[in-house]
Amino acid sequence: MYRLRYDLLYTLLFGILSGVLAAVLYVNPMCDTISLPEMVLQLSGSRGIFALYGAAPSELMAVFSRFLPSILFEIYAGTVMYRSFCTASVYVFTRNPDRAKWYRREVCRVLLLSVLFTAISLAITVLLAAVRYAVVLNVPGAILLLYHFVLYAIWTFTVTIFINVLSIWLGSYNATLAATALQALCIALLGLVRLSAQPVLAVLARVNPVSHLILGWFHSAIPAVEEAIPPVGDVEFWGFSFPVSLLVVSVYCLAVVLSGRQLVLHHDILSGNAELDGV
Amino acid sequence: MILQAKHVSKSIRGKTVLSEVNLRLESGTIYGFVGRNGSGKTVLFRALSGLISLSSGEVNLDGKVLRRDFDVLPNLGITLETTGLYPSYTGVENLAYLAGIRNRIGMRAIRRAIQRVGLDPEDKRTYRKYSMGMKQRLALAQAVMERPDIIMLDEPTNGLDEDGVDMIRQLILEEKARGAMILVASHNKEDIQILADRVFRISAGAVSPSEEAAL
Repeated sequence: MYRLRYDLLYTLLFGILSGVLAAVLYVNPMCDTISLPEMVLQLSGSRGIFALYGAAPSELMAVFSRFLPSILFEIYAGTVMYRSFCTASVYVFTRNPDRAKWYRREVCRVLLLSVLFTAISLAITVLLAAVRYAVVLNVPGAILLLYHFVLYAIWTFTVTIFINVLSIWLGSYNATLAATALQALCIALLGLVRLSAQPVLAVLARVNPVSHLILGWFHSAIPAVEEAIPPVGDVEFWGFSFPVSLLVVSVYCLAVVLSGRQLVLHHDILSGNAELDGV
Repeated sequence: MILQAKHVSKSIRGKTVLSEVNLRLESGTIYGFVGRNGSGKTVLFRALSGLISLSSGEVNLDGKVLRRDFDVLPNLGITLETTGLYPSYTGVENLAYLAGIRNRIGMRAIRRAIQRVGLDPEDKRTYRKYSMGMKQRLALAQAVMERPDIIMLDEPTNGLDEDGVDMIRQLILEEKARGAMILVASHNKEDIQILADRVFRISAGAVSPSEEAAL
């Protein structure tokens, strides 16, 4: 219970920090009024009509900095599961006769924290935006907000599990570095959208999970939502939509969770403390 | 309760660390394991407990096979030489956290276990401020606090003063009297002579009955 309490407290703090940063840095209407759809599109890395289109390095940097608070949270929560391997692993795992059950419980804990982080971050952003500007609420905005919440919560959860699992194998420093570098690479690959006519690059851009977090590139079967998303040049033929993106992000999530399960089940606990043996 | 190892071997990165180990161990008995550093004592405990997979052979407890019927031995207490506890927790907090995993005992049993190894349950110092001997005592307290059926102790008297050694030996004998199966690995001949009912020698991962007579 102590640990869950600490984890919840830190999640709350990271959520607030992330929400404040997003509200201050990314919700910037031209006048004092902003519609909810516009705000959500800005939060999901789309700035205005030509969201990232053209592989502008400054835009990619902006997206990376937009991800930074989430990355900080992922680094923190990336130890939730791993710390049982890092310290006192012998004492923890001799008390868990069923490692699969232990893994399921830890995955649920990370899921809870990831969902809370995303929810708190979004709530704070919307609240702060409402304090600073006149926010026009509408149904398409609420739907986009829901899309944003679901996709970002799953992605945050996926990366957090990835860091935890990779840490068991590589140590926390290397795992954090690898996960952050991988996310940075995925963000850099957003630039391939411009070159999407080439088949290999088109596939790369489509399998890039971060592409599926940019709501400004989506189409929607719901006319009011479709109308709320400004058209973005060539991206039209990509066919990004919430169901497709949910599927892509969920496949990555499932792959990471299942690989992690295999690693945890078969990992030999050869060291009492994976980072500092014997301390 | 009978714990059996049948043709147990383990290789790590191509190096054999356990070779064809065969053991039959029973409750209410103390088994001593002697051998040089690096001979395979700790790896043997990890293999028998289920913390590592086996390259070949099997370990079973009353016929149930380890890593098939359960991932680790149920109701096991263990200390290994190089394992630390959580540095930012006090002794009581460390044990309370670990006890919370099985949820079988309350704070009273935790405090009692800490007292049994000669520590003060009211001590507010965190684990990182403990001396070597105190860390060793706390590790032993966590191993016995839940009245385990099987206890594996790797160098249990390391880092302890004379009084501490006597206290821990007494504790081990009390656990035996309770009916626990106890495995003690030590390079301290006196520990083994005083405590063990049967002694095994480990050399280069091979385990054989020792000629040294146990009391």
